[in-house]
Amino acid sequence: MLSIDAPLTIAGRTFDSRLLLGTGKYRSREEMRSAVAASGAEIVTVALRRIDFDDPASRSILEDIDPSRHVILPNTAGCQTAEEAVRIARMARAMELGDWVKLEVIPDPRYLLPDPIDTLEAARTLIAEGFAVLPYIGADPVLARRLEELGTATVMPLGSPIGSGQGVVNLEAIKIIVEQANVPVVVDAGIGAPSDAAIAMEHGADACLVNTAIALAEDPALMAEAIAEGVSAGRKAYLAGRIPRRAYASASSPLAGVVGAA
Amino acid sequence: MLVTDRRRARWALPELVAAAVAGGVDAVQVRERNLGAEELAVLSRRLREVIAGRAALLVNDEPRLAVALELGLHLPDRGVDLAQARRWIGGERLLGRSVHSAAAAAASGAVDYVLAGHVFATPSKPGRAPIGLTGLHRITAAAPVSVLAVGGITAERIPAVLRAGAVGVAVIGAIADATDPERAAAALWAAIDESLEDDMPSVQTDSTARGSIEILANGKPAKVAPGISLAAFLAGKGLTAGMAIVERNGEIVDRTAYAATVLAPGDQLEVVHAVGGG
Repeated sequence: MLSIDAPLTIAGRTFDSRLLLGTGKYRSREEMRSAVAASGAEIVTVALRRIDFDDPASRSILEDIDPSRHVILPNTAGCQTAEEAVRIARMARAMELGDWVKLEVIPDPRYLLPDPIDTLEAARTLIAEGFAVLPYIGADPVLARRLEELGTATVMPLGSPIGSGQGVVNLEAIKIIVEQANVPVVVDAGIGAPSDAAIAMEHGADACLVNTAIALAEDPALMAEAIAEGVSAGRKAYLAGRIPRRAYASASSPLAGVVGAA
Repeated sequence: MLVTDRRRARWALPELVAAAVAGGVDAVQVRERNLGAEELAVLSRRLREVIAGRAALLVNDEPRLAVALELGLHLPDRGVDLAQARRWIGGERLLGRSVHSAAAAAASGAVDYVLAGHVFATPSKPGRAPIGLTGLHRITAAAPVSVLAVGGITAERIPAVLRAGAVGVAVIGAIADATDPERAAAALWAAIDESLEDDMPSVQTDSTARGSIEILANGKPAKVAPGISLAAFLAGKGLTAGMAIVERNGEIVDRTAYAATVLAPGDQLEVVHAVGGG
């Protein structure tokens, strides 16, 4: 990263990588491990689920990810209400891997859009209990402000629905969130390719969280590397300052001294 | 629960305990009178090695040893301040006491279980009148915690003591006097198992379970041994405590308390771990 860039700081911890990686949906544990390594991600998300007593192969993902080398960000995926999310967050904290939680309250199975009201309520409770809350939200600038005022560690607006690979369809709203935010803005969900990540970062997102685009790529490790580069390229472009869009051309070569001019 | 008495056993204690645990005993109380502190510590360490986490290990009336070796503690009926004992060994370790009366049982809220007896006449308690099944029933009615019956317990008597409200039994001779202690322990188990099956409708979901109280684990009915600790339950599922997070009846159980947490009938467990997620 450029020397002028500051590290990403979330809840008092600093990170060189601006790519957060999800660990779901991989076809094998080997692919997941190689993608984590190739991504350079320092923050990885996990979910909490019941242990299947009937499946001896059922094992914790923490056997594949070294918590001493990564910040483990447990999510509350699967929770449909604030109450459920608070319960899962407390269980996650019992893993004794820290106080971070990716807050997801999703009552809608078709589009997996988060519930803003229960997300706000759960955030309030969890912050009071000392959690660092990273809330997954629709790209709603007002909600983002309200969460930041409560004391969330980040805001994490979705680019497009989870796993859809549609890219950043909420760009205008995300630009407003970025403009207003005093906490890191992590674009979470919908990123399908390095160019999507680059777009988000060019417009000032502080980081991207990616899972499906990497996990279900034909070569997850290679895609992890590519998206990490997209994140990095977008970040550099943001710092470098993009030219404004114009309606008409502006020649790159001098207009004076053209051979044969009158 | 096996209560030890080295002078009575046909085997050296480590071998006896190993066989008993293999047969299904899930708690061992070291109760060796007239043994020096140092010898008792050596013996307890040895038994801890033999048990290797498969059963709880407690010492009788030796709080300092319990603290030093991080073992459970069993206290006598009289002359103990239970609340102080709890503070002394901490909330995480198994604490139990003997009781001979309903009044003592009723005042035992600070411990994890009470040992009620002696129910039947026994060579371990010569010259004292047994409390009988009636006395046991009074104790189980009064006790705020799980009751194990002790004193003259045999496989044949188990149905009656369980009907009187005990959730399990403690024995010395029924295992120590046996020519095959492992088989004797297994026979006690089978008796507990059968009595409970007769008394309660249940769904056998795990053919390997010889347990006899019914709990709900991750939404499915499961039968487990009475008096089994959470640590032993998890170990039985092949889980190391480090990976599993457990919520019991809506309360998260601290990892350090797994060994001291005794499962009770009707407990609802959520046992979760981290999986891949976005």
